[in-house]
Amino acid sequence: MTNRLGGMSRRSFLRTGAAFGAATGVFGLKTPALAQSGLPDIQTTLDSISVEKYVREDYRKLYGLDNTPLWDPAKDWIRTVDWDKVRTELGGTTVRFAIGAADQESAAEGLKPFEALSGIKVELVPIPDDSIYDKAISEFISGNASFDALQFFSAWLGDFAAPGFLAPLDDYAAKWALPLDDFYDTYRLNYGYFGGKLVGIPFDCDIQMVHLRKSRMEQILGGPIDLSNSVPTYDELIRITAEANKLGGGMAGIGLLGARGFWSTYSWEHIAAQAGLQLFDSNWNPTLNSDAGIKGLETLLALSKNAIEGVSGAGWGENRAAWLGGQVAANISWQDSGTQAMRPDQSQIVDDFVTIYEPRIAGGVFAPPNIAGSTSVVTATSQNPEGAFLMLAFLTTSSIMAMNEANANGVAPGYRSVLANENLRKVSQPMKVWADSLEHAWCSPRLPGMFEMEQALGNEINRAITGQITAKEALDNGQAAWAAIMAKNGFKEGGGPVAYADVAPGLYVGGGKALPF
Amino acid sequence: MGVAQATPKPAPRRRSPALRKAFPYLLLAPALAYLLVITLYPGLFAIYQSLFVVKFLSWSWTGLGNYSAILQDREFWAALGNTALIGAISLALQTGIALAIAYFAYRDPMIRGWRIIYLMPMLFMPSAVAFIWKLAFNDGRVISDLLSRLGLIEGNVDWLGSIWLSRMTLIIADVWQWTPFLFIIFVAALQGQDQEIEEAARLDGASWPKIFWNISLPMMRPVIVVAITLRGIDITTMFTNVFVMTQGTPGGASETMSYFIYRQGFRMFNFGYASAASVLMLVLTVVIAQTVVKRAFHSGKK
Repeated sequence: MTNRLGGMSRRSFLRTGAAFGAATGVFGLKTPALAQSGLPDIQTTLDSISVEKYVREDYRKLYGLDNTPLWDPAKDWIRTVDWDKVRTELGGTTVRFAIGAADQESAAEGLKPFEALSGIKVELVPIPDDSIYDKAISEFISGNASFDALQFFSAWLGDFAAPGFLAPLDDYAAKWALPLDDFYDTYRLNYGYFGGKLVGIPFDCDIQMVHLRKSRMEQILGGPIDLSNSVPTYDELIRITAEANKLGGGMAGIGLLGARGFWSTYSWEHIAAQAGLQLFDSNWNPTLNSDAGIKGLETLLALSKNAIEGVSGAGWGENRAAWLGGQVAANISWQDSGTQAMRPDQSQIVDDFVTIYEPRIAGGVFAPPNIAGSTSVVTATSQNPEGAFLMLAFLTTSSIMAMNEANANGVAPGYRSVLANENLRKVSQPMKVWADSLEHAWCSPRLPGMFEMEQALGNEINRAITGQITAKEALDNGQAAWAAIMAKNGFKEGGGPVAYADVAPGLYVGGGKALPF
Repeated sequence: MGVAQATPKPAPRRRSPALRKAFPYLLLAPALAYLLVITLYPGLFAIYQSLFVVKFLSWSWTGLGNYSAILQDREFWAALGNTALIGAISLALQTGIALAIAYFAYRDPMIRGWRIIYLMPMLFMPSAVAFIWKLAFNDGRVISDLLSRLGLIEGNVDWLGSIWLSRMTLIIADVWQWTPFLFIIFVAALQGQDQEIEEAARLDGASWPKIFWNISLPMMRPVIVVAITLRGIDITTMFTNVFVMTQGTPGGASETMSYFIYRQGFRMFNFGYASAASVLMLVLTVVIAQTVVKRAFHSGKK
């Protein structure tokens, strides 16, 4: 049936409308003065992006924060970029940003200053949080994505980048002087680059760490906790968590992520990295069941014996609740466990915890793991890739990231200049250890199929945690699953959609560096 | 006296033979169209998709490859076994409890008037029920705390760490929510039986348990079979409780077929594989349900 709209078919109406839209778009680009009229003063807008406006009032009062920046203004991209030039070149254009539906409202508010600074209009395309992957990939494959920019779980980067769904950003980064060198190498290399090209700007820069309850552990250790020496090895962590478990009182020895799927994989990777784990050889053959892999899993199994009940079903949510609720004496989880535990509105263990340097494993390396996190990208089919890049650069700028950390909202900064800021360290307990650790970070490569591989391996590790198979069997099974998934994703006979040499530098950035303690 | 003249009846409107033939189909058409769009098309699409390796818009023909892989997949057989085990235990408990309560309650006038109260658990949103049970067993340690206060255990129980405890949590949640469904059907069946039969048996000196066992229960047989079949089919698709409470932990020992299919489709993004598993499950369910119903009614006729 043809729908008639004033004598035009629906299709011809849309075609005419699209042509009109394209024409006005071009017109808009060529007449920046018109687009800029009515835009607020740049400096006033920049001044409004401040601690006073962005950080929660109760947290500011709690930590006595004044309006002193929690970042280095010289490294804060929004304060170094030429906004007049942005307005001249891109004012009046539109960027469509796909975002989890739950974040739509806050993002809309947070992007208002960007619209004011740049003259670029941002349209948010909400996507249900649990279907971002399939929605995104369906749109990518259709070749006509309804958005220009997207932020997603970094493990998916390979799936999106290998088929060419993402726009290269190197030229824009150079043109607009994105401070890539301020990012820790582990984030820049793993969340930013794919196949030698910059395709993403790191967004949520996570690291996993070890956290201890002071009161319980000082009782066991016989004195104050030293950040690097009190628990120097995983063997010692096993011992003290067993002791803590015996003390009872509603507090188990340790909490960790032991649920099926990627949660278990992450816990294993965390520990096995300290044993010197390398997930692949240089021909892309998985080497999960190496000595380091098995040592890591055996250590994880020993720790899980001291863990809180329900650990074999614990993902991030369950683990976070147990830690912040005071049910565990130690915890292996992300850095935000060490920030959120400081906030009285989120935690029952304020002032009774500390985040320590990663315990070591004999024969291994100091390799704190950069696990999970998210990155932000521009689609290859974007009609306004440069505008989309600028919007992402704004969202990930160091001042906003620093204030995310101050708000303890779980979005972590990945900038050296931010993690070195003494003012911010006052409101983020783990930050000193966290900053030191990142210079030695371990990371798994963002390959096509990586998320599926993490799921498959995690199911086997969960079976080991629950005593159904041995560590060796779990890793053998996982390795077979990885090989099959990789073959399905184009890895064959040592070759594949990703050159190993491109990935290798990001896997462990601590080689040859002196320990920070 | 004049004879009252009857008003001539208007001649019935005659439909054309073609329209008469088409009329029943026209009446059925809306329901049929609904069924085609909602059920048949997705079903046929799933069968078609099961013959391909599907990664979103990239489809590559594999014929029966997915089926062959599934039949060699340990996780598939484990999920099938778990579904049968958890389902059978849960269904047996629900049937037993529902029959027992129905036996004690169906003569009570309160039951006649306040049947809806017994339906309450069924009326709650399944995901909310699952979260409450998760809280009770795992996150909130409520059950452990209660058992501990009663002196039955020391410390907290790791409900997710043991294969049987984990399955038990799913069974308890399912029994709690769905026993009322069977109860209400059984009560209705008992209340619908001819009271004269019961009275005659009473006059002959039969006790209530004997009447129930020898008279009421055999007469309820078709109702019980239908109710169990409906509930059984529903249990084979058990998903919400697994998704919320255990996610298949420990090590897949509480993973049901529905959760396995979901995981393959929406966690691993193997849509062809997930479709093949769905088709196998559908075939299996239809065959079992058909066999049960046929046998029950056949022997009932005998």
